Amino acid sequence: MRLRGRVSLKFLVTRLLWGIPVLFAVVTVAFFVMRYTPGGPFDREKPLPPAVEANLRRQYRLDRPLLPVYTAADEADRQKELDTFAAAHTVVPLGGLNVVVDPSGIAETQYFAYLGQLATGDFGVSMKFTQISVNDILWRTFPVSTLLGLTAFLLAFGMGITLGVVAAARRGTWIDGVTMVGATFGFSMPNFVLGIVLILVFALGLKWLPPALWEGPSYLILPALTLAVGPAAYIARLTRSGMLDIMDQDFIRTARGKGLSERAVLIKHALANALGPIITVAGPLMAMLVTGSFIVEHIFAIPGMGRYFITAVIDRDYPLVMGVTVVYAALVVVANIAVDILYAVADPRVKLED
Amino acid sequence: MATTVDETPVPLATIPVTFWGRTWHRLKKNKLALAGLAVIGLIGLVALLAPWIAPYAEETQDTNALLQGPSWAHLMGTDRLGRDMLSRVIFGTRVSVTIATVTSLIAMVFGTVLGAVSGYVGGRLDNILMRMVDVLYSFPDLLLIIIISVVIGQGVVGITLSLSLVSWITVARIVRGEVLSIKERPFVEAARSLGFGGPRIVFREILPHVVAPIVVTLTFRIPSVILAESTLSFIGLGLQPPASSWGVLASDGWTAITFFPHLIIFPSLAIFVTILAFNIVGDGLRDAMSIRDQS
Repeated sequence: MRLRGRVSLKFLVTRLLWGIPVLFAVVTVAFFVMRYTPGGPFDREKPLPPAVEANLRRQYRLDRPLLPVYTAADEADRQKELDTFAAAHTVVPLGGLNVVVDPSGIAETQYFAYLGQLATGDFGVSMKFTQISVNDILWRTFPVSTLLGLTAFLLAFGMGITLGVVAAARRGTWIDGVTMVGATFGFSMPNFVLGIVLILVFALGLKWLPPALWEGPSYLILPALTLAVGPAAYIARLTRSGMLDIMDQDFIRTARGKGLSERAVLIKHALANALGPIITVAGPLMAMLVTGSFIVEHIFAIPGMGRYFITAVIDRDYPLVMGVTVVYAALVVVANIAVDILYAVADPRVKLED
Repeated sequence: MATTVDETPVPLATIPVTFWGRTWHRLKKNKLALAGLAVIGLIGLVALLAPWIAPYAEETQDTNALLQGPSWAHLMGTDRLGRDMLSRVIFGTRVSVTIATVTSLIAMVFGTVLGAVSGYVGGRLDNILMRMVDVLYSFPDLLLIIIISVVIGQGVVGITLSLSLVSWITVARIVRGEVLSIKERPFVEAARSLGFGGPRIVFREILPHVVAPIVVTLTFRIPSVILAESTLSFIGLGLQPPASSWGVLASDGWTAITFFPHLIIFPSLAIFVTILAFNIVGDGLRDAMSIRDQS
């Protein structure tokens, strides 16, 4: 289990630094995709008075061009805003394009202003929950999502590895058969279908557990289970096949020959060697849990980041969508590094340098 | 005229020699996979014959039978507009299955071509593609699909395209891996020394050897597309009514889950059974073709 000398500081720093371009790419893609998405944050069934909307747009910097290079917008309203911007800065027309040339003008375009703001760790103010900063929302929802995600993560690994080891140990028996068919069932069950079944059975039918909301430990059980079953099924299958590969090898026969108990053979020898591939899926698994948490938080009305993300996309709440996206992308980057380190923990031959 | 031909029956080999024959021979022994295959066939038939087998027209509203539970007249009950749920689920099969099949085929074609070319050519092209795959992989794909579908539009075409844009990545990764190992084999070198060009080597010499993993990948792609589409539609970010896939129906039923659970149970069941059938057949195929698990 000793990591000294195998995980170099240089490796960690390099990997973390690699996260920066990845995050940058994610921010850029998400930013422009959201802006080019039809509809806007201030669309209402009953349109806002033009003066109010103009003020809101100015407050949220939406009246500026996205980039220092832009073409004349097709809407008349937007044209007026762009003219106002052009009047305050040095904008040079260049073959149908308008190019902002003064540094302060460039810094004030939406994209660069957002990057500058992001560099200071400020995600801006929500457009839907006006007056509330995205940082506040994230601080409030992050712990909720993390608690749910970690519980599901541990549950998935706990259940998955246990079931996989049991199935492998009883290879070919009905226990193996039932476990593997069960795993296929679990793996085929969409999060929302499982959530619905659990709510129908345990909340509405038996009334053992609350159907939704987030008001105490008992509220964690159903959502965490919903989130964990799919990954657990996946891990169970992976563990079983990994174990079966290993159990045919000579050193297992040696271990048995030494007179070790079957339990010691399974856990200390077989499982320890089968862990590698199981750990490598922890990365994609994180992404699975993140995706799942959007749905699960939505179904169980849990005040986490995922639920806010869905409503934010519908509302075109640009700052909130960006904030959640950045946090999730950062999480995935960090999780992938953590997986590499775990890999080194499980396999003493692995060296993480470079 | 009377040339005698030895007609004593030659003991035919019981195991077929061709790859597909062998695969079918092994798959036949897997009862579970056969059952899955039957279910898939049935689903395909339902999708094809929807207008002829549905007991009611899709949008027929019976105001005398609102929100009824299952009965002989309405095997899956009716919704709040008095529409027959069985008929809606049958028509939903069409939508869900079409989206899943078309998406998987698009992903298959693009993934195979890009993966094969990238793996064969290598170098900078391969690097760029793999970095792209890395970035897309570390991105929760639902987030990506939501964003893309909002941009392209949330009709059947929009959803199909946005799902395809995300789905090709998995295929490309697998095909690239296979091509990387196959291109070192002697017969490829032989083809090269015969002066064959890159495209011919990739498509005529290498790709036929990758067909098996591609078929397995396709079998697993379809359920994951059904999963993604129904999930998206369920949370209201996918297909929009009146288009009604299973996910849209489930989403419809969600609001009334406390009092009318039948509205959500049947569409969910359809989704679950379909995904299950494809996964079981996929497992069976993988075993029959003896391909290692690389999901």
